[in-house]
Amino acid sequence: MSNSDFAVETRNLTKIYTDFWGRPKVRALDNLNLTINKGEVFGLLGPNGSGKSTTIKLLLGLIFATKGDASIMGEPIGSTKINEKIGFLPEESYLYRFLNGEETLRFYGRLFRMSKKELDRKVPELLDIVGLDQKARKRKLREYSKGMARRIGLAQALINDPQLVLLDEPTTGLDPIGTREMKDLILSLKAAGKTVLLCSHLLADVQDVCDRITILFRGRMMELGAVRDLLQVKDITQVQAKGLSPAQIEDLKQFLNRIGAGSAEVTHPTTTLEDLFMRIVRDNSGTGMYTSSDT
Amino acid sequence: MLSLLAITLPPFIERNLTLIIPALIVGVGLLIIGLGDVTRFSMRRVWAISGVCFAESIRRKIWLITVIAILGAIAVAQLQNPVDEADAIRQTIKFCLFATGLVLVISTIILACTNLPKEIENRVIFTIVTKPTTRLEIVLGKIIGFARVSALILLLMGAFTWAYVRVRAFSLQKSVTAHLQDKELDPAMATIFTHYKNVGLLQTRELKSTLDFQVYNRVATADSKVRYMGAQADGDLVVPFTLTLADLMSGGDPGNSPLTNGFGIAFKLGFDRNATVAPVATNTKRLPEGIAAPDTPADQLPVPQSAHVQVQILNEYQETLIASNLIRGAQDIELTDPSGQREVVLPVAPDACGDLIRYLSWDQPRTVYVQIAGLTADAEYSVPDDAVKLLVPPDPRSAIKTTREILPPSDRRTGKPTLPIIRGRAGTQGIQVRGGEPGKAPLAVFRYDGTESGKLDSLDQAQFEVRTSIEKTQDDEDDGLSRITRVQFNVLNRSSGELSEDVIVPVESNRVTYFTVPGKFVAGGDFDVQVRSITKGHLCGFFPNSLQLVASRSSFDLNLIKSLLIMWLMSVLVITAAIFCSTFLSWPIAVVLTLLILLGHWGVQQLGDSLQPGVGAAMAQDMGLRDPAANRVVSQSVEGLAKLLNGLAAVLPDISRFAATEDIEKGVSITASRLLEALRVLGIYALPMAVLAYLLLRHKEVAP
Repeated sequence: MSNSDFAVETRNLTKIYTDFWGRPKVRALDNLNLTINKGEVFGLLGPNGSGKSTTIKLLLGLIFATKGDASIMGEPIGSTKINEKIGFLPEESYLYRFLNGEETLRFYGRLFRMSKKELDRKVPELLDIVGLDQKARKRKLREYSKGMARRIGLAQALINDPQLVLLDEPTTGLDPIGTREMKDLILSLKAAGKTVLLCSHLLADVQDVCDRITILFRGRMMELGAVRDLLQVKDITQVQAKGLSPAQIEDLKQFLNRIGAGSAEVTHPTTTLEDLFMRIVRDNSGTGMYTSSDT
Repeated sequence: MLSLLAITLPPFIERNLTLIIPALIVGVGLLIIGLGDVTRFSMRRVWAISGVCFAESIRRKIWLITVIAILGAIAVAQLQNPVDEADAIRQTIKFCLFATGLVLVISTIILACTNLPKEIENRVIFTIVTKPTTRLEIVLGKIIGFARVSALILLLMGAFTWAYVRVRAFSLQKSVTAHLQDKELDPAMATIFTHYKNVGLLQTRELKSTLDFQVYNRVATADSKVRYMGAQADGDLVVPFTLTLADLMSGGDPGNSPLTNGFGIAFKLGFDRNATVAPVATNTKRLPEGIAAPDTPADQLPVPQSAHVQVQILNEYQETLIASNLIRGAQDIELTDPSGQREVVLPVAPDACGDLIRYLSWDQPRTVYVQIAGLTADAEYSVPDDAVKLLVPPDPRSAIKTTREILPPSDRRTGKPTLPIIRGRAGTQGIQVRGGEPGKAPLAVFRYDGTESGKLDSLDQAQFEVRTSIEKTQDDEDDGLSRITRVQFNVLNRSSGELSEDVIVPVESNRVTYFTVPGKFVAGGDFDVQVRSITKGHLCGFFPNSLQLVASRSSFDLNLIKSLLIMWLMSVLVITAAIFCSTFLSWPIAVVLTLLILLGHWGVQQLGDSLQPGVGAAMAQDMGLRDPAANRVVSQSVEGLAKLLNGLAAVLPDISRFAATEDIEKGVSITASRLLEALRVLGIYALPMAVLAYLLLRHKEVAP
């Protein structure tokens, strides 16, 4: 597999923050060796201060590595050339608050040297995708709610139809519907062959969409692998069945005891709170409920 | 530091250091370090970034500051106390343009200094640098963006200035007409108001002046090889020499110290005590009682065959370096050859040369003047072109026996040695010409060489403007009619030999007045303007630029545009300096450093002579330090500080080169050279600063 087959590759990537006199202060990232395949959704997990944001900043050239190197799509980091293929949604929407939604997208589009014609087509399309209506498009970003700001932030990250999308805490500030839409969008990006690097501490979000994850702690990589493999509890077997009567359940318990299964439990599975919320909203969608972007 | 570098560099590099250093910074920065970014450069991205800067400024309502400035300018204009209508217009233009410059500089400094640090602080920069935008494009985009803002401010303030000045000129023109209808109007003022009426108050003209300004006792004939100098307070001459200490080394001096054997001043001056010279002011009518006037009439007294002069050495500011008593003791120097063929040699002892040695340096040539003042009241001195030279004798311990001669520097145009400058009496208001009877009074001559006389007016008249300051002596009281000072002008066309008729103009002190002569007297551009005060007892003071030829007239509107353009160029420099500082400093510190960069050169200039070599020794002496160690510490510290400040001034931009207001205020056309000079300073300083800002930003971690 050649280097360019990886969307992202880091080799001993290290970042040490220093004080004014150049003395080491914090080792934020310690010899990170990581490869992200093209077309996968990769999750970067860890508690606060674990090095997630530092990794993203290093990959984007916002800060410089103390040691080691990295490449994106085969190009060394730090080159503005690779930015043509990258979309980045920062942790918060760091955008010009005096521009309106449409002006914001046009500005970022021009940084990719898009023609006016191209922008006329692309900007409304993206605003539709992220769910900002006509009224919201003409409002200044300083008047946006947090959720709307995340949406316009996502739109600017996608303006160039990127090959690699870096999402730093993408669901922060979004309501459950927005969170679900975001996750759907991530999956649709994957379906379109894009690579997504997701950085989050909302584990449920990561679990729902990521193919592989790595867990960082104090700047070091603690785990790396497919989500399914990492979460599998190998010494417990789960059997699911639908429509059993109480008598049948009692028979099942006796059968499990008879074959020697230790600590056997037979219970009803629970749904997730998100699924419950989505179901309620979906069921009542005809009763005049609206999202914050409509206000 | 630069001067230290210059010692070891070849002359070509030394001469062009101010161009080579910026070129190196730009070349290395863009073509070596930043070549990748240069190849990816996109003007579309730069324009997009500049558009955001512009939009941000507009939406923050930066233009509101112009409204405040306009109100301020109107308010201040109401408080003005002008001398006349033209002065009122001049002051109005000054206020408006001052307000424009102030608004421009303050707003651009604040906008440009705060922009980048705030974008880094609130992390908006994240979404810019993660796009295919190079740091070069970011820097240029911001410079262009704020240059667009400054252009908008100038457009608003320029439109106000244009409209307000026009309205003022219209109303003041009516006032001029009213003055002219006044029967008791002073003749001098009538001349001035008539001029205002004819050419309008919003005049813009190109003026030509000359630096060749001398005061003669009388005009020399065409075939004369000498010029005539008056005596006592009416005349002296100076001859400039451009010297280093090396020029004054005695031949073969083994001690390598200048002037070990002193030097000599050799001069040739003729005199005539029978000449019809202008009488120096005396008042025999006021002799004390009991003292009678001489019985013998003056024309029957025997003519003395000698005259006296005094010689001293001056520095470039006309301050004394070697006083006459150090050269000849208490005695005056006697001239005994009326023809001036006999050379007089004055030895100057080594002991007298201390100030001269301290004034000169080994590497930087400085100007030294030999001054010869006539002392004999009734003598007229004749001055040949090669009147003065300096002699450096050989060292007595050396085998070299030849005395070296130092001649005045040559005129670049003619290749001839610089002629002695013959001057009238020096006063605080310039060189003064004593008033006397027409034909007998001494005269000031402004010599024009190869001057483009430009377009004449419709009557084929060449127009001149003259400004003089008048001092009235007691003689004035003898003549009740001489309250008004009258000045006589004649123009001699040196090519045709034609002399114009007398033009007699009443003048007011320190007011510009106007006169015209037929165009043929200035045709060809080689002409002399002879100026005499013909009011007895009135001394008219002139500087070289006191008399100017109006070479052409142009539109005020065009001049205003040129003025605003220069201001805009200055604002681009301000913006670039501010962006440069903001790449590595927080915005409050960046504001301070930007001001330091912009005003540093000017500030050091204000210290003037205080930073000349020798200031350390002078300060130690003033402090009365007798302990050699303390003396050395103070002397070397002050000297080091002076060098540091001089070095700093040498590398900082001189914002006085952006001369946007001084010409337009005076109604003088802003020349293309002013614009080019502003562009040159902008190129030399803004380009390297922009490249340095790019390099700093390129290596800056923008994530806090």
